Amino acid sequence: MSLEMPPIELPVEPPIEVRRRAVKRVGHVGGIMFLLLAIAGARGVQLALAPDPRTLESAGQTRWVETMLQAERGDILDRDGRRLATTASTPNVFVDPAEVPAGQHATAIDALSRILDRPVGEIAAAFSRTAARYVLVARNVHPSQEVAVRQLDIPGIGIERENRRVYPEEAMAASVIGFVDRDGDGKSGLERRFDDALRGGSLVVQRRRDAQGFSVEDPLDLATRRLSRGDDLHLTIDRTLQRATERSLEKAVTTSGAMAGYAVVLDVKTGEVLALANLPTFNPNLPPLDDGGQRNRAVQDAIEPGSIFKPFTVAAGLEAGVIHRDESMDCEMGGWFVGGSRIGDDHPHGVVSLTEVIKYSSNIASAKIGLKLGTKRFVTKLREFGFGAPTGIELPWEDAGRIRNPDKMRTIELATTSFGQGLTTTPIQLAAALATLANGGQTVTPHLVRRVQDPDGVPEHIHRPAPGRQVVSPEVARDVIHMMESVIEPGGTGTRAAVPGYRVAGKTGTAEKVTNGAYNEARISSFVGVIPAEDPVIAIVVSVDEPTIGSRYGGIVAAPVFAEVAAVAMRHLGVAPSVGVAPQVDPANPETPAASATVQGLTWAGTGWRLPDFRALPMREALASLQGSGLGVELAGSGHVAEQLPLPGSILAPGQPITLVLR
Amino acid sequence: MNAPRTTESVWDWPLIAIAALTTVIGLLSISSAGSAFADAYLDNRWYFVQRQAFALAGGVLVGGALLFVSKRSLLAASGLPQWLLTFVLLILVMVPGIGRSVKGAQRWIDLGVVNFQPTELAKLALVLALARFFAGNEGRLRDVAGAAFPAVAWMLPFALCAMWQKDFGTIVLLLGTTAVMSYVAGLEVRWLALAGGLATIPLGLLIAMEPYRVERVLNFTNPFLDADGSGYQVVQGWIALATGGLTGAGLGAGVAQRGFLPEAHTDMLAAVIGEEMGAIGWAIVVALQAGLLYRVFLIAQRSTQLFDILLASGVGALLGAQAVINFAVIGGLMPTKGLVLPLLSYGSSAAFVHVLSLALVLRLDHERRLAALEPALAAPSRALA
Repeated sequence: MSLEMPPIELPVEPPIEVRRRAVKRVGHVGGIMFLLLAIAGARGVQLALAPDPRTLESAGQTRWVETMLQAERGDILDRDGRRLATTASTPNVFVDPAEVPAGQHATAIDALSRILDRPVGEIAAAFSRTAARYVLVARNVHPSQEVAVRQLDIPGIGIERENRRVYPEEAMAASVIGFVDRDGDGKSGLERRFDDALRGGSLVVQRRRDAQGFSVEDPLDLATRRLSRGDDLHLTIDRTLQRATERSLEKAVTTSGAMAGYAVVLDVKTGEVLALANLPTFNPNLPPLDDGGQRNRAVQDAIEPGSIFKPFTVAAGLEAGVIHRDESMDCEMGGWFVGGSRIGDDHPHGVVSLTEVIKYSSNIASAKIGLKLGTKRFVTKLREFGFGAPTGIELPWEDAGRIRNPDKMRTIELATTSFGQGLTTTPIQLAAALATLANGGQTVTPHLVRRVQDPDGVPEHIHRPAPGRQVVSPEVARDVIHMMESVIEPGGTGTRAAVPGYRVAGKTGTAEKVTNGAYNEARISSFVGVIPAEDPVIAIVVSVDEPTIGSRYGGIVAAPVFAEVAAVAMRHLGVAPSVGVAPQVDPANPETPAASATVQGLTWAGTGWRLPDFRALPMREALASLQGSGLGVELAGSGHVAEQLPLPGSILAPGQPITLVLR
Repeated sequence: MNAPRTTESVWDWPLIAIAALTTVIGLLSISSAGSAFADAYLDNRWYFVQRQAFALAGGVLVGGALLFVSKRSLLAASGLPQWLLTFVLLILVMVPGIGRSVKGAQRWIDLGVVNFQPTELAKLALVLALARFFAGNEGRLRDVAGAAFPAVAWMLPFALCAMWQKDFGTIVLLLGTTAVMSYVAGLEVRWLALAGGLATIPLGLLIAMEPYRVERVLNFTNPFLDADGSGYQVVQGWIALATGGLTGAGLGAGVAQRGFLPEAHTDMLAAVIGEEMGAIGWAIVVALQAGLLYRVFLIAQRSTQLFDILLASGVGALLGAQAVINFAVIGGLMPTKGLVLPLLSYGSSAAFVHVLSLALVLRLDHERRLAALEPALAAPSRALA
């Protein structure tokens, strides 16, 4: 090996040679170093200015966090501009456990437990999640709690404000309004159907983040301000009627031990839904976990209508000319065979007038009309009334109901359809069809939204009624309504629907429920009617599902609901009574005096509003009087106003917030 | 030979200025690059800056003192005494109870206030020892027996200690510095080529023995093949550079160091500078390193004594190799190797030693300048030359 060779005696180089060579070689070394440095340096510049696409892709996947900024959701208001759904800013308490100094952990847990009135263990559990940078401890806390938490001044404990959807009327009309989930998405009702309009502008903001996913850039205030607020929804719903309808329906459902109930109040001339009630209901302020309570049965549930369907059969018969208004019909003393099957009446009658067919609710006579019409003509007319198709009401999941195919309909099926069996309808369909009769035979489109209005008050959409179709002649319509008046007269099945001072036309029904394809003992007790009969203003459909206590007849269970709602409606809408003594009505202030007298309005005091005393008022009243003032409202809790800030008598300029604490 | 001019300063102020500017930029960058980590794990966001400033201050203090130590005294101490002292320190690291481990590597001695890493000192110690040895054997340096074998003998004990401490970066530098200084001293190129050829055999075997090393060597130009594994650090560095673009996100506004880029304040500091100060910042840092090297090599070339030439070129090789490797690793031009950027990256021992090494070069240059100004005042060093 060369490395082991013995030392060779070389002539010693002169130092000057050695140094000259060394200096030269330093130049080589330095030159190579500069070259390498230049290559590496240029490489870095290249990576910075002309990066590999994969670098950018990888950066895009890991270095950014996207945050969705959402504008404030629009309000939902009743026909008089009273808020049914609004947005309020409420405080939440959160902790960043890792930020809380170790020495202050115990103090912090004790203090929060005391302030928030929550078990120590619960707070301690939140603090133990040290890996999380954000643990929500309490939502929607009381302002005094917010102040107390702020005064703790312990690092890692924070307050954030959250825009929360608030439903001042709580459960009222909940099945119509619907609710939003915590992400602000409309989940049912109008909140769902008009989600796009209500939610307003949104913006996806990309912010740089650290490896844990937390943004390293600042809060989102600026971006939020640029977003336009969502549109407001102005409804046809009348809060007064809605509340009266729910109250009466609830009484009926409770006293009859029923499973559910629903009612629709429709303006027969415009198709505006003035009230739409469903029981059971839910409080949308506390979003339900299952969908049991939020189902809008009046729109989503198609069931066999039963006897309340007979007026439409009579109307179809009259319109086609197969029967005459003065015709007499043989009710076969309660028993009749059609295509080998027996049809029965509950109350046997012989030959009766057409009016009495409706008054006594004869299945046999109805079937005879249907048979005279024949499947084609009958079904066509029913479809013209709107059966078997969605009404188009602005609610999700509307059921179309079902009519048998006329080409395949057997005779017995034609007969049963004539008295409301073997087809399904929704209450909203029945209300619309009834309104058609009450509107001189011309269809109306049931609807809930009068207009959609942007934050500046400019309407985005105004409901314009589509021209109605003439389903039956005005004479036929008037005749059928007139015949229906007999139901309320003494001896009729619906005497309890009578409203003092007004003529009522209606029809009772006690439908057998179909479960698993077979009729069973359960009943649906219904009453449909219009008032005043001589020139109808509203149509009302009431159904009580499976009453268990006392009578189950529609005339007993449902008719009183009609009577109560109709009475309130006549007074509220200022319809003068046409029969007997007129009750005291103040058309200028149809509101119940008790409710309006307690609301003290805001008064303008030069620079701002002088605040009245809101304390002890229900939330909705307080909100109603703040409406249009330009004052921001921050709500905490629910129920009645317990405290207010600033105090009564203070003057608040528009744009400033007033805090209401409710209990 | 430079003609003596009376206007010439007796100190190499450009070198001092470049070094000072570099350390200031380094401290600023560390304050940003290390703050997220320091804040999260050490509860003091200024931890690394404080330690680095402390080490630099120590370097300036001791280095400042060295400026007043004559070359005569330096020569006397630069041979076996300082080599032995360093060797003892390297051994002490391996003594249980004295050596401290960080991230699985036992490389530090706990001095109470600071941890000291003797391998950093070893690099300078070897430069001193080799310069002293070669200068003492001037005239017999072209030969293997006269230069190469003794040089390896000086180097090998240090390298073995570094190997035990799993400090492969130091081994590379020790080998490289020895090669450069041997070359400058006059060793014939064929011997260097032979040594280089021989060195590839064990190096190749070491690599071939571990599949992950093969992968790393094969993948270093394409870190995306294993972007979550061996290529992770390089990909994160590239993202930092790409994010920075031309002008950067601004000092302190980088994101890479917030949990993405490992070793952000040490080996990958230049990538953080790239994100925060852009390609311009990166280029300035590269230029400062080049300027530093230029002044050091210029001192070597201006020197009249072999010892001076060798010491300056050794220091230049030491600093230059670290800079080149550091930049090249970030650029994906070399397999990942943990080496700091001189005077920039965080690393107390390295910062301390780098300041000392520049102080030594400055002192030698100072004496040359004095001698050039007034030959009679120059300290006589004929005894060894």
